[in-house]
Amino acid sequence: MIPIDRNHVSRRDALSLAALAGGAMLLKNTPSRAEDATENRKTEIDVNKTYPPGEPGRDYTPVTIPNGWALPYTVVDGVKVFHMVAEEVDHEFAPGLRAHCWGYNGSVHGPVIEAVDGDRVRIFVTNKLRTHTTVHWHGILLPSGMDGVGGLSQKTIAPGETYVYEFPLRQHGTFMYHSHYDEMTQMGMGMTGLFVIHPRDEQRKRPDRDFALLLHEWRIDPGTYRPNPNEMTDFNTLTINAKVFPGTAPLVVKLGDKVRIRIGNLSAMDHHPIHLHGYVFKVTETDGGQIPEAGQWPETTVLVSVGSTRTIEFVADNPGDWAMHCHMTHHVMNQMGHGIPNMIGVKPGDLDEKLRPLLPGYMTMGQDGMGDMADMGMPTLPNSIPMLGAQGPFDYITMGGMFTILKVRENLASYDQDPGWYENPPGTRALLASDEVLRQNGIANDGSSAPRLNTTKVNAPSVAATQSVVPAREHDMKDMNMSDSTPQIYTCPMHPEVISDKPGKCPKCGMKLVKKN
Amino acid sequence: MRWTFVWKTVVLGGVIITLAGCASVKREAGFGDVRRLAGDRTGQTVRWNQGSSQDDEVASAVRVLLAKELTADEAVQIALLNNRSMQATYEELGIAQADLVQAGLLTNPIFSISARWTDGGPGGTNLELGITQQFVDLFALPLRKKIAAARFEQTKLRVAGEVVSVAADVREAFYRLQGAEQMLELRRSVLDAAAAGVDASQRLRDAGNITDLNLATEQATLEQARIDLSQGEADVLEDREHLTSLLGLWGNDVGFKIGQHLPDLPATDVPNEGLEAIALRQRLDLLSMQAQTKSLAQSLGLAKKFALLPDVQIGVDSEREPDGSWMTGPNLSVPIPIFDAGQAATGKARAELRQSQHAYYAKAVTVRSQVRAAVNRLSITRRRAIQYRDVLLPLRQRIVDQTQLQYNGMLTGVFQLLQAKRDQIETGTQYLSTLRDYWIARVDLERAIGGNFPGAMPVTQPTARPSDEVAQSAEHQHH
Repeated sequence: MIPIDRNHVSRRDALSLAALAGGAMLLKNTPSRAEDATENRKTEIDVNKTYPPGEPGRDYTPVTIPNGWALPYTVVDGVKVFHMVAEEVDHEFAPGLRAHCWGYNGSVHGPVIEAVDGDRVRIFVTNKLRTHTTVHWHGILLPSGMDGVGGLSQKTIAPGETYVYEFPLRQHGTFMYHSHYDEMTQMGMGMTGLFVIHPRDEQRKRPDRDFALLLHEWRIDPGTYRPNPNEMTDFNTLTINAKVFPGTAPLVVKLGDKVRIRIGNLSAMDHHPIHLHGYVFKVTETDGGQIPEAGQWPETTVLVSVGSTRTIEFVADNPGDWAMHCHMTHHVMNQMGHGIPNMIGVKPGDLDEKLRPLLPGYMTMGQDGMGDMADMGMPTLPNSIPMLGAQGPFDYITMGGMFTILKVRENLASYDQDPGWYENPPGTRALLASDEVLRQNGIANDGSSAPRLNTTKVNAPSVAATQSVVPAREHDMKDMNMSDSTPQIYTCPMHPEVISDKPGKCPKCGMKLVKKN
Repeated sequence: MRWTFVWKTVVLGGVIITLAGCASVKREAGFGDVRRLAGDRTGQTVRWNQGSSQDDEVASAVRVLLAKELTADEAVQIALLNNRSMQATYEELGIAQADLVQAGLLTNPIFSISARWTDGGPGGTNLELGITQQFVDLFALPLRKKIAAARFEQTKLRVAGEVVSVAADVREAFYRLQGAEQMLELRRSVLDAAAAGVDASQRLRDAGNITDLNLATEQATLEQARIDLSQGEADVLEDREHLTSLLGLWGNDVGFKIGQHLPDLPATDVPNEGLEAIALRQRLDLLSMQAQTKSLAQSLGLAKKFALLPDVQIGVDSEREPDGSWMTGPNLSVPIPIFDAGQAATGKARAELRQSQHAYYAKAVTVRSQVRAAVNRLSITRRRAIQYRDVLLPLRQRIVDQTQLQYNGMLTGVFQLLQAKRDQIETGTQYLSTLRDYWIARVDLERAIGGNFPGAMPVTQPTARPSDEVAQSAEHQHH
C-alpha cells in the first residue's frame, strides 16, 4: 500500500500511481496464472460449435510418414469415421529381418490417424487378435469412458468384437495411440501408432515439410522370428516408424524448407535423445501443446521420454546428407550381443591356427572394435542383419538401429523420391591430406609433429603377478623380477597431472620433474 | 625136456607181447582235430610248435604280422601262434595221447625167481621160477581203450575250447584297447580345446581385459583336466599290457601298433534266430562234457563187467627141488569176491555218470541263458550306438555350426564356441565307448554260442565218434 498524502500528490506519487495503473492495465490484458496453465492447451476453436471435418490441403498439410501411411477416413453425417483392425502382422524391420508382430490394419506401427482440431471422430476398432484389447488415445482430451484403459474406462474388446470410440477433438498437436490391455505384451509386440491433430485455421505458417516419426524398441534375438515382449532391459532392435537402418526411409527436404519433425516415443523402457546433425532446431511442441515462442528450447538433441512427443522445427538452410539418430550408442546398432568377452587390444598370435583344427570357421574378431565387422561377409544366422549398417557413398556406414538421414537438396525433383547421395561441392569434404598440404602446414604424417601430453602406458598391474607357476607358458621363476615391472614415473611439483616416464622439465611451467613415489 | 616149458613160457610171453602190439606215442597226436575244431569256430590257424624247422616259419609269420597295424583277426592269429601258454595247453594232447596208448598196453608179465639153500641138510639149491600175467587185461583191453579214447576226445575238445576262449579273450582285449586309445585321442583334443580357451584368456589378460581371478580360474580348470587325462593314459597302458601278454610279446615287440579306429557298426545286426540251437551244437565245453559222459558210461560198463573179477592172474612156475628135479606147472590166482563184489566201484561209476549227465543239462540251460543275455546286450548296445551316431552326434554338430554363426554375428564369444566344441567331442567319446561296448558284446555273444556266427564261417561238428578215432589210430600204429 503506497502511502498517499491526500492533501498533497507529489510528482513521485503521481509516477508511482501511473506505474500502478499501467501495471494493472497490463495485467488485465495478460491472463491470470490459472489461465496461463491452460494457454498451452488452449484450443483455437469454440468447444460449443460444431465444425465441418477438416480436409487435407484446404485445412492442413498432411504429414509425411517415412515407411508409414495415414489411415483414410470416410465422413458420415459430418463425423470422420475411421476403422482400425487389431491383428497379427508379419513385419519387415529391414531387408533380411522379419518378425511376427501385432499391429493395425496390416502394418506395424498402426497407421497415423490424422485429423483437425474441432473434428468429431468415430473410430471403430475390430479385434482380430486371439486375446482382448483396447485402444487408448494418448494425450487426447476426451470423456473418461472413451479413454481406452481396459477394465477402467471400458470393457475390453473380446476377440472378434468391434467397439466404437467417438469424441470431439478439442486440441491440436502430436499424440499417440496404443493398446491399454496387457500393455507390456501388446505394446511390446507393436500395437502403437501416432495421432496427429492439426490446428484449425493455423495461425502459424504451415511448415513446408511436416514429418511424423514414432520411436520404439524391441528384443528380437537373431535367428528368431518374433519379438520378445517380456524383455525389460536388453533391447537390441531400435526403430523409427518400426524400421531399423538401413531400412529407414530418408527425410527429404528442399534447401530453404521450413521443416517440422514430430517425434513420439512408445518404447517400453528407454528415453531417446534424438540428435540431428548440421542444424540447431527449436523444440516447439510437446504432447501437451504448443510452446510459446519465447519458451522454445534451442537444441541439437531433443530428449523424447517414454510416453512423450516432442516436435522440433528448423529452416533447412544447410544442404547435405545429415544423420539423425538416437545418441545412445547401443541404440544405433542392430541386434548386438552383450555377453561377449571384451576383445579390444587382444593380440591373437597363433590362437587362430590352434583353433582352426577344431573350429574350421573360426577367426578372432573384435580386437579393434566392431567397425570392420560389418562387411566381413561371414555366414551368420538367418533372419538377422549385420550389426552395423549399409554401404554409403564413400564407405560402409557403421550405424544401425534408430538412425535415419535428413537429405537437404537445392534441386529436388520430387519429395517422394530418394535423391541419392549428396554431392559435396569441391573443397567441402574431408580428404586424405596430400604430402604437399602436410608439408605446407608443417604436419608429419606419422603424428610426431602433434603436441602430446606425456603419460606412462597403463599396464595390467604387475604383469609378473599374473604369471602362474603352471607351465602353461613355461615361464621360469627367475623371470618374475618384480622390481622391473613398475617403472619409475616423474611428475611436476606444481602440475600433478603432468606425468613422464623419464626426468625432464614440466611442459607447463618449466620446473624440473621429480620422482613420484 | 624142462626147457620146453621155458620155451613155452617164452613163446606165450611173445604171443602176448605181439598181441599187445608195439604201441608208441605219436607226436602231433590228435592236433589235426583240434586245428579243425578251432579253425571252424574262429577262422584262424593254430600251430603246435614241435621244435622242428616249421617253428621258424611260424616265427617269421608272426614277424610279418607285427610289422604293420594289426586288425582284430591278426591279433588273434598272433596269439594262437605265439602265446606260450597255448603251447603248454597243446601238450595236454600229448599227455592224453600217452594215456590212450597206455590204455592199450597190456600189463607186463612178472618174472620171479627165488633160490634157497639148505642150512646143513642134504641136497642142492631149491630154485623157483615163475612168470605171471594179468589175465583180465586181455578182455578188458578193448573197453579200456574205448574209455581212454573217449577221454582223449574230451581232451581234444577241451584244448580246442581253450583255443576258442583265448581267441575271444584276445578279441575282447583288442577292442578294449582300440576303443580306449581312440577315446584317449579324443580326450586329448578336448584338452587342446580347453588349452586354446586358456590361451585366449591369457591373451585377454595380457591386453588388460579380464581379471587375474578370471584367468586363474580358467587355468585351474585346465590343469585339473590335464591331471584327469593322465589317469586315462595310465588306464590305456594297462589295457595294452593285457593284450601284449595275451599275444605273448615282449622286448622290442611290445611297441606293436593296432588299427586306429574301431570298426564301424555293421549295417545289419546278427540274426537272432536259432542261436541257442547253434550254441548247444557248437560249444566245445558242452561237447567236452558230452564226451566226458560217454567216457563215464564206458567206465561204468567196465566196472560192471569186471566188478566180480577185476584181477585174475595166470602164470607158469617151475620149481627145482633140492633133489634136482624140476616141478613145472601153471598157476592161477583169483580174488574171491566175498567182501567186495565190486558194488562200491559200480555204484561210484554209476553216480559219476549220473552226475555228469545232470551237469551237462545244467550247463545246457546256462548256455541257453547266456546266449539270450548276450543277444539282448548286443541289441541294446547297438541301438544306443545308433542313437549316438545318427541323432546325438549330428545334433552336436548342428550346435557347433549354429554357435559359429552366432559367433560370426558377435552374439556369443569364443569361450561359448569352444564349449560347444568340447561338448561335441565329449559326445563323440561316449559314442566310441558305446561302439567299443558293442564289439565286446559281440565277442561275448560269440563266446556264448561257442564260435563265430553262422554264415561268417562254416562250422563243422566233431562228427567222428571216439571209437572210430581209436580204430584209425590203431591202424596207423601198425606201420
